[in-house]
Amino acid sequence: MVKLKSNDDKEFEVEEAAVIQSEMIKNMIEDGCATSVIPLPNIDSKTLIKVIEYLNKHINMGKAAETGEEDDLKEFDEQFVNMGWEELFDVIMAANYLNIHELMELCCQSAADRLKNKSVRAVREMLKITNDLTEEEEQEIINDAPWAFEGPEIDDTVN
Amino acid sequence: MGSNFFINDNQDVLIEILKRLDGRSLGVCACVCKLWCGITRNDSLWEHLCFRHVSPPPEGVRTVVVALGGYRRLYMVCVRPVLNRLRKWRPIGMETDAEIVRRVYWTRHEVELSLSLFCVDYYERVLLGGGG
Repeated sequence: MVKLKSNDDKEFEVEEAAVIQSEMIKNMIEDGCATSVIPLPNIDSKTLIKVIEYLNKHINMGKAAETGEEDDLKEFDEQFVNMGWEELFDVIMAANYLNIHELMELCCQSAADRLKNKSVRAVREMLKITNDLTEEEEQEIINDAPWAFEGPEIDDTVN
Repeated sequence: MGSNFFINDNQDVLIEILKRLDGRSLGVCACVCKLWCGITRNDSLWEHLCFRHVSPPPEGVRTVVVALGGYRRLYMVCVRPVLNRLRKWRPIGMETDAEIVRRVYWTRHEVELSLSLFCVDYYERVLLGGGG
């Protein structure tokens, strides 16, 4: 077992087989630097719990393919990313820091899917971005690829 | 971390997300703010978009594409129109799902077709249109 400590001083025990999906921790273990508790100063306990949940579920990725549990895993992933933007970004930052490739892929794809076909206004509102483009600059961008800004697919809702 | 996350403070993450968008959404995202506009002008995003459904990605075309105007232009002028045409050939019901179509149809032949069109576009611009 490997012990991880969040930045709000909570400790979690994780099976080595699960935790080595993190390249960062895998390297630490190989280098013999993971003898006691591994402090994670960038990750709070709420986010760490989510990450560990993912790691434990994906522990036997290879086996899942053999035993036909792929659908189960797919369903888990779909449920897993069903969270708010803030929480999603926290998990992305944690996955980035811990270097967990699959989790990074899953969460970034979920973020991209949420932006897909959204209107400019909707994207700004969802991510709380203030527009700092002038009207002329905006018009220039639109003229550059007008097809991107028209059509019935454009979704102006924020969710 | 916590509730103060602001995507524009984390450009690496922003790029990772934009890399996974389709062409239309990427076009819209260019209009969000100055930072996003700058990032979406980065040709490597468009390179990724042009060839992400082709494996392995075509080798040796990079220099040619860059010399003839870059991947963004390649997407706008050739890849997008070719994909749109292919989409129209699909039976009703699948038309809406460009992603499925792209995965099924975006083969090496379409890549070659796009690249050929790109060369034609370049010569039209430079040799025929350049004087006018």
